Amino acid sequence: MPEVLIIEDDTNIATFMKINFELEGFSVIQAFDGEEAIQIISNRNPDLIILDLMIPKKDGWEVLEYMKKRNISMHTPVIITSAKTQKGDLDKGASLGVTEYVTKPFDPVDLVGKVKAILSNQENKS
Amino acid sequence: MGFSYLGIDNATLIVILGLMLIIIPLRFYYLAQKRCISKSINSLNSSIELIANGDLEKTIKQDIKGEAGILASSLEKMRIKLKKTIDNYNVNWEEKESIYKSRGEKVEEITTLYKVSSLVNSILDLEELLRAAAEEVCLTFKAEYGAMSLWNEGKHILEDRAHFYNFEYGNKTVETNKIGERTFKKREPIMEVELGETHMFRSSIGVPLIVKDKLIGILELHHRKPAAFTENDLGLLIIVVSQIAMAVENAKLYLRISEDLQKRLEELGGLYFASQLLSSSLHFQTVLEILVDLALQLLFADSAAISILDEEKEEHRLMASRGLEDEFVKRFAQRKGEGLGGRVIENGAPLWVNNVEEETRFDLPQVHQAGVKAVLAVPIKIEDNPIGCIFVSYKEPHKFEEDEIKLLTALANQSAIIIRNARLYSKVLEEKAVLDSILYSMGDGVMTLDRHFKITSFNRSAELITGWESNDVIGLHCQKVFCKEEVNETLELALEVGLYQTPSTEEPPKTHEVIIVTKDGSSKCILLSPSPLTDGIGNVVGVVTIFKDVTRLKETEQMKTNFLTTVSHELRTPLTSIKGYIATLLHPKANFPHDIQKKFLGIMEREADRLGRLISDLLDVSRIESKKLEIHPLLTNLVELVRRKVEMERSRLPEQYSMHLDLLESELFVNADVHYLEYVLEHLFSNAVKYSPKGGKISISLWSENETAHVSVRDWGIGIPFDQQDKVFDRFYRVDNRPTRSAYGPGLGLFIAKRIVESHRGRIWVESVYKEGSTFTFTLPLANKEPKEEART
Repeated sequence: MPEVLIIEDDTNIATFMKINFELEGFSVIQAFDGEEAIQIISNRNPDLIILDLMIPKKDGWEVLEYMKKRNISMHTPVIITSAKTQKGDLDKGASLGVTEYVTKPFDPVDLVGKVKAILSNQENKS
Repeated sequence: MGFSYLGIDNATLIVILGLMLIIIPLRFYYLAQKRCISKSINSLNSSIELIANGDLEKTIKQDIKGEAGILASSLEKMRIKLKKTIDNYNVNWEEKESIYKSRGEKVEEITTLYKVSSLVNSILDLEELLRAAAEEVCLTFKAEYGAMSLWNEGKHILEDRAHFYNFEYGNKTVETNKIGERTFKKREPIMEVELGETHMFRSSIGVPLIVKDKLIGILELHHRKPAAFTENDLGLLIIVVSQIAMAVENAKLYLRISEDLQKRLEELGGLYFASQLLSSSLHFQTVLEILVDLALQLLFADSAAISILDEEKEEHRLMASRGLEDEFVKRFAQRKGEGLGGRVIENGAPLWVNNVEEETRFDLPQVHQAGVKAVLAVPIKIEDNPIGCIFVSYKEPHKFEEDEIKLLTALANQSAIIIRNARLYSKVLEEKAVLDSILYSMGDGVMTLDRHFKITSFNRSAELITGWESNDVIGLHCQKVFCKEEVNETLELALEVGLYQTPSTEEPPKTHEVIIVTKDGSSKCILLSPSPLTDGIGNVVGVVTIFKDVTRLKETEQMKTNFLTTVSHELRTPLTSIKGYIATLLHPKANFPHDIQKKFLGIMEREADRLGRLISDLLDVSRIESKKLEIHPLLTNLVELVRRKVEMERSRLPEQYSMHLDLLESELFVNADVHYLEYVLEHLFSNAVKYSPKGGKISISLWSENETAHVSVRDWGIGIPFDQQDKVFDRFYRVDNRPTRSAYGPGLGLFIAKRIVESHRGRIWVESVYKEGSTFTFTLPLANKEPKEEART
C-alpha cells in the first residue's frame, strides 16, 4: 500500500485530500507545519510527498531544502500544492527537485490520478 | 585755409592739422575712458600711428563699437581726405621734392611742432602742461624767455601760470613790456622785434589762447636780441598755440574731475571685479546713488538723477536722485520720445535746456514739475542702445557749455559699464538666490561631491533624508558618512558611474538603488541619479547627485507583493476546500453517511462565508482607496452593541480562549454606522485571537472620557515589536510572525478599521509590548442624544 505524506496546514483541505487518497487505497500520513513535516520525513520514507508552501513554523521551501540536503527528493516525488502562481516559484521548485506543481484550487480526484501515474511511472523505471 | 603766407604748402599743413585733430579728441576720449581702455582704443591707436607714419593706404577698422567707433569712422573719413590730398600732391613728385629742399628748414620745424603738439596733448595735469608748453615753445622757437598766463574767471584777472627761462638772468626782474596783457586785450597776436635797447627783451611775441572764440589766456615769447622771431615763426606759433589752448581746456576739464572724484570713479570701475573676488555684494541701487552723486559734484548742479528704461513698458523711471522731491521722483515715468529724457533715450544723444521759461522746442511738463530752470540729459548707452539717462539740473537758468556736456557724457559712458556690471551682478545674485531656494526647498536630496567623493554641498532634503546636517558632512568622504563599517560598494560604484558618464541632454542620468546608513544608524534605501559636475569650461570636477528616499516605497512595494500573495492564498484556500469537498462528495467510490455529508457541507458553507468576507474586505479597501466609504450614522448605544458582539464572539471562541467584558457605563450613545462598527469590533476580536496562538484571556473595556467613548481590546499574545507598531494600520501590513507563522490574512483589517473609525471622527491606536500582548483602543465622539431621541434604534 503506497504511503503518501500530506503536508498541509488547513485542516479542511488536509482532510478531503486524506479521504480521497484513502478511497483510492493509499495510506496517508499528515503533517500540519514544516517542523512536523521534517520530523516525519527524517523518520519515515513515504512514497510521495504532497507539500503546501505556505505552512507555519518552517515553510514549504525550507522543507524542500531539507529534503534536497538529505537527498530525499532524489527518489521521493514531491507534488507542490500552492496558491502561489508566480513563475519564479515554478523555477525554484524545479531546481529543488519538485516533480509536479498543482495550483490551488484543484480537483482531488485529478490529484490522486496524478500521484498514481507518477508512482507507476517510477516503478516502470526501476 | 589760407596759410600760404606762412610759407608752408597746404598739403603738409593739412597733414599736420589732421594729425592734431585726431590727437585731441582721442586724448579726451582717453581721459574719459582712462580706466576702461578697451581693445577698440588700441586698434584706433594703431590706425592713428599708421596715419602718423604717412601710411594712408590702410583702411581704418570700422567694426569698433561705441564712441570709439564714431571716432574710427571720422578717422577713416579723414584718412581718405588726407590720402586724396597727398595723392594730388604726389602727382608732381619732383616739384614736391624741390619744395622740400628749398624749405628743408621748415620741414624740420614742422616736425618739431608736431612734437610740441604731441607733448602738450599728452599732459593731463594743467600746471605741468603750462610749464611744458612754455618750455617746449621757448626751445622750439629759440626764445630766451617764455610765459603762459591764464584768465581767472573768478578773480577776473590774467594770472601768470608758467615761465621758462632759457638764459642766465641772475637776479634781474623780468621786464616783458606788458605784451601779454596787451595781447589779451587785443585778442590778437602781437609781434615786436625791433624794440629799443632800453627794453630787457628786444624781440617779443604774444599769442592769445582762444578756444572756440573763448579767450582763455596768452603765451608770450621773448628774446634779448632784436629780430629774433620771424613772420614764419609767428604763423607757426599761432598753430601751436591753438593746440596748446585746446590742451589747456582739456586739462582744465580734467582738473574739474578732482582727484577725489577721479578716485571714486576708479573705485567704482574696479568695484565689480573686486566684489567678484571678495564676493561682497555690489548693489545695483548703491551704484546708481554713487553715480548720481558724481554727476551732481562734477557739474556743480543743484540736482541730479538717473533714469533706467523699462524695455517692456518702453518708459523710463528715476531710479536714483539727489536734490529732487521724493514725490516727483516716485511719479516720474516717461515714455520713449516724450519730454527731454524720453527724447534723449530715443535719439541716443544729449539734450539740454538752458532756460525752461524760454524753451519752445519741446513740451516739458516734468521739468516744470521738478521746479528747475535748466536741465541737461545725456543717454546711458550699452552697445549703442540707450538704457537710461543721467540728468543734471539747476534752479536758475544755466548755459550749458560743451565741456559740461562732454563731461556728463563721459560719466554716462563710465556709468553704462558700471550699471551693466551691477545689473549682471544683481542678476547673478538673484539667480543664485532663486537657485539656492530651489535647492533648499526641493523634495529630493541634492549633494555634490568632488572627484574623490568628498561631499561639497548638501541640501535641506539631503539633511532630512540622512539625518546629517550639512555642516557635519561637508568635506567628509561619502563612505565615512553613509556607511557603518564595510565599504559601500554600490554607493561608490554609482558615483563612479556618475563621474565618468558623458553628460547627455537626451537621456536622464541612470538611477541606482543604494542602501545607506543614516545618522541614527538605521538603513535607508535611496535612489541615486548621479551625473558629472563640470566647471564652466567642461572639466569634470566632481559628481552631482539627486537622491530620493525610497525606503517607504520599497516597503510598500514589498507589502503589495505580500498582499497579492496573501490575497491569492486567502482566496484560493476556501475555494480549494469548496471544490475539494464537492469532488469528494461526488467521488464514485464514496458512500458517506448522512452526518459526514452534513459535516462536509458545513465546511463548504463556512469556507464560502470566509470567501465572502474576504471579498467584501477587498471591496471596502477599494472603496476607501477611492474615498467612497459611505457611513450612515445612527444614534447607537455603544455599550449594547459591544455587549452583543462579545456574546456572539464568545460562542464561537475555541475553549482555550476566555473573553472578559469590563463595562463602566450602562449606556454610551454615539452616532455610528452599526455595520461598520461591528466590522471594527469583529476585526479587533479576531486579531486578538489570531495573535494569541496559545489561547488566553481577551479583555474588552468600555468607558467614557472627555465627551468621548473609548473601547479597548486587550490580549496577552505575541505583541507587536516597537518598530512595527506605527505600521500596523498601513494597508497590506501584517506583523511579521515568521517565527510562529501563526496567522495569515491579507493585512487589510486594521487598515479598514482605522478608516472606519476616522470616518466617525474617532481615533484608533495600539499599545503593545512585544511577546506580552497588545491593546487596541478606539474612540468615538459621544452623541448629544436628546435631539436625536427619535432616531434611536
